[in-house]
Amino acid sequence: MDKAYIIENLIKWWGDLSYTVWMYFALFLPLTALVYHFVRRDRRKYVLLIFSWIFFFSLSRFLLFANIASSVFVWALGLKLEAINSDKSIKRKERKKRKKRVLIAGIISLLAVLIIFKYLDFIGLNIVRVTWRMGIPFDWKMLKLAAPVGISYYTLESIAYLSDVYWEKAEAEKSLPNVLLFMSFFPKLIEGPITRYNEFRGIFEGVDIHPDSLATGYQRILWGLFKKLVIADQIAPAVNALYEGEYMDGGVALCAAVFFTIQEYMDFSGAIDIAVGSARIFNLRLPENFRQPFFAKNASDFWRRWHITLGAFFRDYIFYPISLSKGAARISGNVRKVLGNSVARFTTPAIALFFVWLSNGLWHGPRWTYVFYGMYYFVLILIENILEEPFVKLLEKLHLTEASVPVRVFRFIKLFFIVIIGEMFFRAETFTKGFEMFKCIFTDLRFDVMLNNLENISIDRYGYFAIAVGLIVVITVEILKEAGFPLRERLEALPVPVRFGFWYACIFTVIILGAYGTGYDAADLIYAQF
Amino acid sequence: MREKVMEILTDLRPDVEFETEKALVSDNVLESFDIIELISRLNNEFDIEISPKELTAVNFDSADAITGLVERLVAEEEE
Repeated sequence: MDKAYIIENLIKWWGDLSYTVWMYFALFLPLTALVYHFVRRDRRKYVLLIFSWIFFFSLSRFLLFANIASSVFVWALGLKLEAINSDKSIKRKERKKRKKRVLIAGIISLLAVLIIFKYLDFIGLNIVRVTWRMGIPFDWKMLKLAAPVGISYYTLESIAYLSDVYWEKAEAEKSLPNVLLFMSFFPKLIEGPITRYNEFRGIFEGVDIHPDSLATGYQRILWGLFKKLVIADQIAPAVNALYEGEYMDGGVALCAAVFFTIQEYMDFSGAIDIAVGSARIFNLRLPENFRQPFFAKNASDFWRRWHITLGAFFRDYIFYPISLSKGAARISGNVRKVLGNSVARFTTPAIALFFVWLSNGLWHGPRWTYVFYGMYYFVLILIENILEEPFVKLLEKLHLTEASVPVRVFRFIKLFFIVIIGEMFFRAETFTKGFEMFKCIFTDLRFDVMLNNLENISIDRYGYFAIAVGLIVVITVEILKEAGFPLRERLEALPVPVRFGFWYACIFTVIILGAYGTGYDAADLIYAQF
Repeated sequence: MREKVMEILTDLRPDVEFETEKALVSDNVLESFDIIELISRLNNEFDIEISPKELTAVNFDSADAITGLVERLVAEEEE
């Protein structure tokens, strides 16, 4: 038999290793753990690297070499920065200048690769739009390039690493295999969490797999599968039907946005649970990416609880550097002279915040709806910060505190609408479609039509039941976590038969209530496309 | 120097107990807008330049840590 034929079939059988296919958690992950366990400690990182490459290859084939090339580049640049840092024969100012040149060259190159793979068609089409209006003949042939899996995530991770070495917050990594593993480690590859190099170093020690970490890891994976298969994938066909259906009124628009918000949260946080759980098996604690976001007191707080690692990246590598730059100080000084202190106070953060949210929108992908989504939060968060002081004074006058029930209810309702309207635009095919949906909430809101629609959106009663059970479980867990209840510890303290009974019940719940079979395709992970 | 730092801190956020709080940044007691405002005031008051490099929890988690950072940077400026 032809060798190529065998390999081709092997690849087909192996399939795409998304986190929610059984091949991943029932075969790939145990196999990796097994080989890891039987190999000498100092060689374990190579095992993880090889399995990460197999994982990468299964999803992106030979684009793996783009990842390897970027890793080698980042490794070399890290060493170069370190060499300048430690060369005391050069004056401090000159050192800084040289370092800056290397860092900027590095960041531009990494972003260029990202732009080529993901944004070129978007840029081309927009140039065509402008030139067409101006009557200049220019045509763009769509390239439709496939991007290496996880490129948006590992590009940010490598920018953070180089910046940390530049600021001497992190030491440059001397070992190339370590950097290669950092940039391709399979649990965090597809959807993050975006991990800092210093948080990742622990993995290189090749610590033994402990029964506790194995159990905790798999429990976390099960929790992720529950969110993804029982809720997100069950609700996915309804979201598609509502967004793509011919009929749209205010009720349908609201419903579509609420369903999509549920789908997205369960899909993304579920994938993160699987990522964190998978890494936990190898004794690595990846950073958490969600912390009960719907308990946030406002939009800024929401973003400290939702996709935490992305927000933290933008804060540390865009917000602070811009806010603290000399240019921002100059502008703020000029504004102070003309408009006074109270306006100047918000000038610097506002400039920085604009770039943060522009980047946030664009990071999600080459679409104007994402740019709008970023600008939407930019405006909201800026308004929130400006109004915070008057709001606190108003509360004092009304003899209310932050903890009062009416204030908390008000904050929750406000946040709820902020989030679902943001998601309404985020999921819309075009900005116009998003705006039409938004408009009809105010012009055409009829709940009887909405209820009629809910019966015809390809979820049967069984589906609604599964989603309802799933949501009740997740919301209960979130409430307990927010209240600081030690859920895990309490579960661990139960007698062994009860504990095992509980985990078996969980496994069967996922199997029974999960979305599979005809009519359901395991929906792609939403955040994998970003 | 510590009194001056405390004065700036309490003026910035009168609702926070700066004498006892030991996780100002780690627990998000100070938000990013506060940090920027704080740095701009510290820079003006002590004629120093706090760069993004210094933005770590270790440097900003307590009034003592902030005072330590300012003292170090003032000394560096005088070098």
